[in-house]
Amino acid sequence: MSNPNRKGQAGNPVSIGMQSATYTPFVNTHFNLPFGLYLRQTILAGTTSVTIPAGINFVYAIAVGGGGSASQGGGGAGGVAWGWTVATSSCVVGLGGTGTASGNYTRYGNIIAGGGGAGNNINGILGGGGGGGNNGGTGAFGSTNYYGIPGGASAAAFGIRGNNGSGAGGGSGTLTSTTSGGNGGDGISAGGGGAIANSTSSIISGGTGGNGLAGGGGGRSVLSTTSNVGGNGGNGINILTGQITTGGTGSTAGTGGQGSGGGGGGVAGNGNNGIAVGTTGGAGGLGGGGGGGANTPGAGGNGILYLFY
Amino acid sequence: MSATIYSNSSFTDTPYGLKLQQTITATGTTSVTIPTGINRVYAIVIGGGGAGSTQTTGGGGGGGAGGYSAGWTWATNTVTVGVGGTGTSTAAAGANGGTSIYGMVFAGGGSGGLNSVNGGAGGGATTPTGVTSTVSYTGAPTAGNTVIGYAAGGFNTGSGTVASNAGVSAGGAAGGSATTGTITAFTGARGLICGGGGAAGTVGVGTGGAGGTGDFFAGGTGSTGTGLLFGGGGGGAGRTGAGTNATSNAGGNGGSGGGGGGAGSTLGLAGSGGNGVVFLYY
Repeated sequence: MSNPNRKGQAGNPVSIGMQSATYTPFVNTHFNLPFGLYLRQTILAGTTSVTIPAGINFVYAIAVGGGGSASQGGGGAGGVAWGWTVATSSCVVGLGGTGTASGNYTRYGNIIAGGGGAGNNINGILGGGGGGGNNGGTGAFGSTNYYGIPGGASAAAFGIRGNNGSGAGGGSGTLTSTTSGGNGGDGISAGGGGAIANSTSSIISGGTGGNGLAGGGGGRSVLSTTSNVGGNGGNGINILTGQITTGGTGSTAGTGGQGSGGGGGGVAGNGNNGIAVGTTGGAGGLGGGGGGGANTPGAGGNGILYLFY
Repeated sequence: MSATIYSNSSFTDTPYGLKLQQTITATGTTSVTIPTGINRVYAIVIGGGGAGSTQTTGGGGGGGAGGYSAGWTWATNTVTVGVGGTGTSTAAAGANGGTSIYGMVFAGGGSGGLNSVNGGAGGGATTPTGVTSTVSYTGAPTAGNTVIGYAAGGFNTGSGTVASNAGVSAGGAAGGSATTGTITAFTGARGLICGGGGAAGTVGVGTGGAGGTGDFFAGGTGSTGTGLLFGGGGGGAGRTGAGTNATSNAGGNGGSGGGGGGAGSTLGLAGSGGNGVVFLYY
């Protein structure tokens, strides 16, 4: 019996759905997914095995690495990789970083994405966004991704925004001379916002996390005698629906207090708010959001793996 | 005459539904027959694994896994399969694996273990030499010492107790340089295909690192015992075969399909890398 799904050779059908004159791709929701395939499995962090039905030789995978934990700066978003791979029963889905650690990688077959960099100037890995800068530290570099799309450089000076890239650069932290930390760069995987510690009567704010498919975490803010505002987490995008996943809101504190950064939105969940009366940054959203900067850093969002066939 | 991507299937990039038609394992450049009418082939091409290294005293480093590339190419009657690096009992860097090519899809071999305790990098589109990998066929970046990547970096002893150089093609693990006391060498990292384990060469209890465990096969185990005739590292898992276990102070061979060779210790024979392989789907 011939294989009814055989494709790719001239003269053969590309896809059962797309070849039919009776379908209109843009009103049939499953055509939003690769080649009319269906999402069959969503795999969460810590899972190491999957079952693929017999006869399925190739799987289209979207892999998202874990977001970076914050430090004073916000964490970078986890990398994103996508494409066809040979089917396998093994997988690695990375946890988000905790403490001040970078996120962990996610891999299915030959599709692999790295974690976001931690918010103490740590570079992203394999598509991951760079972490934001600590007080007085430049942000980190974002990483070139699976397809060779360049990463963004870190900020060029204190309090400056990180550069855009597939993995975007982190914003720079600052101690003086500005009223905000640098924002994270935008990209597929955004950079974390920089922190600020400035003894001033002005209102100061941590840098906002960059926006992307996965958003970076916001930076911490301290030492203003008027108001310390944590940076908001950057927004992400839900890959399956196209809807925005929102970054968490940074908290605000007066003199002697700390504005904690919000977590970045992931590809599958919103970032969490910085805790208003505490010293805890918001955790990044599920699917690689970066953690928000604070004395107790927000954890990065766990990675996620989607399998289509 | 006109063509559109909506009515001409040759524009699609999906391999979904294709069947494996040919598996080429014969090393070197040979001929392959593609049926008439098949103009495009989806190829998965894997380079040869790097050999482990051995040292006069102490342990050597494991070889890196061969590169792994996949994609469409025009059909051609020529194919090249890279041979795995051959292990030796000479204190030197291990031999790199060979490159595999089908049409425009190609993958480098894995780096041999270094002339030290360091493991070699996993192969990318081209063959690395040392601990830093090469850019992959997709364009994924190089990875340095202990860094994960599509093609992962080699592993150095200075960076912790757990091998962190995982990837699609994982790097080789490091051996132990100390020659006394209880020494446990490093284990190859996880990958689709994996590098070899490091070796331990000590008058005390030496345990070679296991080869990395892959998606399809396991790595070989390291050798354990008291004295200089133990401590070889296991071979890394390949795409089509498991790594072999270490014996005495000799490293295990990498699994077929690009597994990296295990390291030897105290001039024990280092493990050879597994030969590459080419899969053709159409």
